[in-house]
Amino acid sequence: MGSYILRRLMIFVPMLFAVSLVSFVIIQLPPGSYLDQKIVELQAQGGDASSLGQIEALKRRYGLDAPIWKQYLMWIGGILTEGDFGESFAYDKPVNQLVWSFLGFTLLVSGTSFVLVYLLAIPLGCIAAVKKGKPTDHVISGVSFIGMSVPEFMLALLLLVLGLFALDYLFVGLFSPEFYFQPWSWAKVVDLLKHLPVPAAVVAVNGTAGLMRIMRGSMLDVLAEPYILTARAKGLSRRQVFGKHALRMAINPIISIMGMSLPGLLSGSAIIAIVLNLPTAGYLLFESLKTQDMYLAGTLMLMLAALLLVGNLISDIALAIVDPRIRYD
Amino acid sequence: MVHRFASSRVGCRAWGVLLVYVLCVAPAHADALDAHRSVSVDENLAMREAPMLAERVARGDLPPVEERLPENPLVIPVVEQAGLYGGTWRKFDTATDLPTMKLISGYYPLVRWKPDVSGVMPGLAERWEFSDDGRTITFYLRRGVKWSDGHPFTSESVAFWWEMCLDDRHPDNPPEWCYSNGERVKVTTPDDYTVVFEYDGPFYFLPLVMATGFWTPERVLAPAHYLREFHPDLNSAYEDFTEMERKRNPTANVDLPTLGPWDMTFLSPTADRAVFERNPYYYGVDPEGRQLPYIDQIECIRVQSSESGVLYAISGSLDAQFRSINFEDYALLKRFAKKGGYKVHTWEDGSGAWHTVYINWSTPAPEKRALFRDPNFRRGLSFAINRERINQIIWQGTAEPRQATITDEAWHFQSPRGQDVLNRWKNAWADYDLDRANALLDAAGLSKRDGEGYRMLNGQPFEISLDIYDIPHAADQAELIKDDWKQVDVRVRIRQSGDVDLGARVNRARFEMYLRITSELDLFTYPSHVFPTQIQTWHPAIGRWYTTGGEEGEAPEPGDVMDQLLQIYEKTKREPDLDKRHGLVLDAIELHLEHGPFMIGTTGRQKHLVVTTNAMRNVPTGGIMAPWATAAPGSLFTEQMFYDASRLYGGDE
Amino acid sequence: MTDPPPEKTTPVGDAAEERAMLLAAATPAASTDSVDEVKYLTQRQLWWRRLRRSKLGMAGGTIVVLLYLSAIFAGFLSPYSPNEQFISHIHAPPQLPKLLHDGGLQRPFVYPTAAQLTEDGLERVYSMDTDAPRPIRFFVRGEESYKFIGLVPTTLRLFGTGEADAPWFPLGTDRMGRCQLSRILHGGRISLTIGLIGVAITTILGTVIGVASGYFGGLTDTVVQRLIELLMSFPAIPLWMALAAALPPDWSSLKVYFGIVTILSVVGWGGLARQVRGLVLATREADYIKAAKSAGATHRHVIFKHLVPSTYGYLIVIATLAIPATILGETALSFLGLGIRPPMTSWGVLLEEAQHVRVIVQFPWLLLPALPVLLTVVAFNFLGDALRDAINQER
Repeated sequence: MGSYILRRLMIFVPMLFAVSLVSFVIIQLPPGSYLDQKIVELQAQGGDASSLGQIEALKRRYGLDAPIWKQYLMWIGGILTEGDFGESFAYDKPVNQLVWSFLGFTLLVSGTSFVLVYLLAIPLGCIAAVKKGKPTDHVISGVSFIGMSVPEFMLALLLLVLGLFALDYLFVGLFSPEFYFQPWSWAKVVDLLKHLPVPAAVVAVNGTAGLMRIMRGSMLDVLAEPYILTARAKGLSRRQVFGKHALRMAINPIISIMGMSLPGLLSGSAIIAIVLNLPTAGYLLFESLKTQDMYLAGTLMLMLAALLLVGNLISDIALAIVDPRIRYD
Repeated sequence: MVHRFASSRVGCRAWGVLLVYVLCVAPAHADALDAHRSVSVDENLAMREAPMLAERVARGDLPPVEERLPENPLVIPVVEQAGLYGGTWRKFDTATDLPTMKLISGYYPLVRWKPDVSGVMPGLAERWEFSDDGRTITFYLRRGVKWSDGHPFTSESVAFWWEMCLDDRHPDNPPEWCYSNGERVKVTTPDDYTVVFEYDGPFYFLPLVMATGFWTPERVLAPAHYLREFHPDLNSAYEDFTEMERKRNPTANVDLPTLGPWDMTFLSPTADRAVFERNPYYYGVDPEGRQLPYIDQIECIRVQSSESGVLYAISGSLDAQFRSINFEDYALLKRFAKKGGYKVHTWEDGSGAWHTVYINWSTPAPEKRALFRDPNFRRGLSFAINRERINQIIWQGTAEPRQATITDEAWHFQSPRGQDVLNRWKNAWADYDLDRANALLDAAGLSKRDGEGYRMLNGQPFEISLDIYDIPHAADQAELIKDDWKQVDVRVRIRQSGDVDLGARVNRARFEMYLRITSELDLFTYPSHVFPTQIQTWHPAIGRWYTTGGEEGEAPEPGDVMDQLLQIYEKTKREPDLDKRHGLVLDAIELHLEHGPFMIGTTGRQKHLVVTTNAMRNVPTGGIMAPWATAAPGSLFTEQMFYDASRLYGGDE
Repeated sequence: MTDPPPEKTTPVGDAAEERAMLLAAATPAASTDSVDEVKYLTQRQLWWRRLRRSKLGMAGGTIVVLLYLSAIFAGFLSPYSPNEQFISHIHAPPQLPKLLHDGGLQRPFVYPTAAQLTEDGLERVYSMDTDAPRPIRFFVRGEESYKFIGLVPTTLRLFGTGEADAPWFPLGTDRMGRCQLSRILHGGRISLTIGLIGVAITTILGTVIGVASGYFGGLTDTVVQRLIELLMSFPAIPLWMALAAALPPDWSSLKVYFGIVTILSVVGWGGLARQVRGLVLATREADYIKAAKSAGATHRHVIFKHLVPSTYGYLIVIATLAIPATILGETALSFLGLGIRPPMTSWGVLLEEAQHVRVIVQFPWLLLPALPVLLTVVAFNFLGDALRDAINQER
């Protein structure tokens, strides 16, 4: 297995480079740049020679006057040698600082929803599989289908308005306005905990529904295997068969999916973040794409892709450990 | 739900890490905000400075208010009455560089626009004078004004800005208004409180330039004593001006000293929350000599869409919001005003037309260019627009169908002649009259129709390409205009090509027509709607010729209307008498009435919504928002707004 | 429901038939004497039989067919043109057909409505003129002409009041006074075809590349696999967003439409190709392929006559389940303003309007375009699930 992991790692590095190149090319695709937008803005303010001079200087400062391949080399060089991901134009800050500061709330929202997804999907999927064809299964499956089908922004919008008019409660942001500027206190943490479930749940709905279907299918497959029948026939209790044999096997696909859901964790909430005004990485990406804040957008794309690669690696390794039957050649 | 995942081990660890993380970046908060409660309402009204500052003075952290104020402070009129010190003003912003905040706390110019935009008044300059030939302008600064860190404000600030302009390594270049007859102005500072601009020719607009927006004081009045620390020649830690420019960004650097009423003291790492605290050295006082501002601090939340802002408003979580509220939300805001405890005011947007069709005077295709220069064609198109329909559909009938003009309140129109010209201008070719439209279009040589019934130009199919920016209502209005022009058999193609792309094409004069909002209060410093002097609006090619001194762009035909307009503008710059200067502007507009329209308006006079909480007092009225140059609401003195006693001394605050 | 009915609840006859069918499919030659009419069933007929047994699957399938029919006949079904503006009916609320007038039962009718501004001039209030019921007529002539199925110009509409002064908007109107039912029906054309075309591209690309990769192996395989891995390294939504933001801004809405289709499908083919490759790797060594090869069959023959057909069942399932994801993708992109551009109308474009609080509070009927999205996605999911069960049973 050691050599298997080593081989996976060796592919990992060139992949990362390829990913960084593709990220850079994608964010260069739209015509113009952030600074061109700035020119439009400055001209609206009475633009004259001096502001255009500033733009030229900014271009030099950010290296935007160089050809694209050179810009890429400068960017990737900065990352490799100094861990410098470039600067965000809109925030006037180094990208890595900015990304780190957004990461906290992102992890908070998506971590919560991640836990929620697995806590709900695995038991529900199992129940649906065991009760296959019974009303329980029908209800769970029906609800999950609807969960998969509702556009998530609709769900967020409806909750927002419902909260405001039915519950007299504002779900916007991660804090109530009165806590936004308070120092940390127990009351503020409680306030945060009050605001967290709605975005987390909305983010979780789609994932739960999908994962539940997979869990159910996987469980059904396993339950049909001869060895489960044998175990039952041997007189093992339902509980033992289910917990010891069936669940262990049925969970494998879930593990491999878990790795793939890592980047989704950071980006999936983008649309909800916009509706609910959450400072998350997904929103940051959307914003940076719209304003052509290229180093920020590129870094986020690269980060998400790298996370997916890491996630795949982890889930492959995890799977290798959990399921010794998997062969590597 | 919370308990369930909090009990899982993974959950716990994640929570721990995150809480530690957020705790580290939480705002450092002063208990000083409740300082006003330590004094009674009457005592508060009698104090000459805010209680929170009085406490600091008592502790010895701060010099007494007499030492902090200049010799001759700016006396700011109050709207209703002298106010109480204290309280927090909650607002939101939608962009990372907090423009609406800058328009509140960043307007500290040498010369100010009066609140009613009828003229200018002293700001940080106590007075200014022109030499007899109009070539030398001397500003005399207020003595004893201090930056928010206590350092004296002197002519060194302007000198530093000029030094940076002349330094080739620094991004600042001398702006356009620093040149006269192609010669660069000389800026000198004979003493700490005198700044002299010496031009080659007369230039009577300089005080107006100084009164412009937050961006002029932000550059020209630089905190030299602070920025020198980052000067590469003085600090070997820096190779170039990159760090200095970064430190100079007022909405990214909390350490940057300011001259404005509030000073940013906190910015969250995600740039979604900013706190502005009162500037203890602010140079403005109320008529009783009490230092302003009344309100202790401003908390600004950055929202990711204005919808979140609306939700904050209707839930009563906003104290005063002057911008970023869409007119469409009027009914919604009114509906919840009682519940949310706020008032909705309607200020003027100041739009002469929202939107206006700008017709490129120098359209690239020669045949179209000739056509577009034919007044019959432009007038025909104008008569074909059903303005009342646009008013009903887009503005619920609240706007005014009219021709495109600059803002009605502009100071050029104050005289009787001004009013007359304005009236004729806004009604010119603004009726909906399809017969006249058809006749005029026929007269412009578009009488032949193609197979689909559309008009042809010189026997070829004819189509107008109408560009739109990604701004509210543009797409809807463009559709309505397209539909209107279809009635007179003119084919239109709408292109929404992205703001950057369109901006660049306008810059290079590579467009046919596009939609934009027309609103301007001062044509002396922002002439481009009437005079073809800038690389903008309907005349970018002529404007390029003018700004580059004839090196690039397209020269006007000698004696044609463009040439006449440019000559009037040149005269305006040199005219010492203000009334005569206004008269010249009106002459130029008369030329528009003779040869125009150069831009076709649809509807104008839209309202701009302002939301303030019921406890907010001294709210200015009648602001005009769209022209940023006059910096509303900053020029209307938001520093004299205050909370009534119910809010400051009530139970829940 | 979505899995084949368990035996307990299945009539005995059905189960027996099922077993016989399986037998017939597995050993075509051995069962000649058992059930005569069954032995000739092709694989597809088998799938169809099993699919028919899933009620939800059939319901889903029916809905899908109806939805696509409604898109084809959108012009005829909608009472007005999607961009026709009724200046006197801005933000008009929906009106259901009524039956009772003056205490008497009548043929379905509606009352004409008229807007009045409230005193403060802020809101429009619609009142009904209950004195003048207008019957709902069928096959009426509209004001604007359209092309029936995109071919024949006509003004004939399925229903309406047929009176210009009393238009009827079953689902209300939007901010420009446009009939929402008509807009939803026309929006369906875009949203539904985006799903279909997008998935078709995905499937064709994925199959061709997957089969080639699996069949030829070697360098082709390595290159393709690395390429897929690279493509799959990017999470879908951010990649969609980045690519959609990169669509040239001056493209016409039709070009943007195809751009969006391409973006939505380009992201998806990798996974499919990989799975197809796996299937091909397994079948490549099968005896009948070897036989075909040794009999001198060309690569082309082997690929298109043997390998590709062997993946059909799998592809149908994947495609059916991928369509709703594509439709939701379009909706999300348009909601963010990165997708279809007006004046073209899709469900996502219609929903973009619904992101305003004022719309939800004052004009809640503008949220209705969410319903067809929901319906389509649920229907496709039901259908796909049933198909999977029907096809997978062979294993």
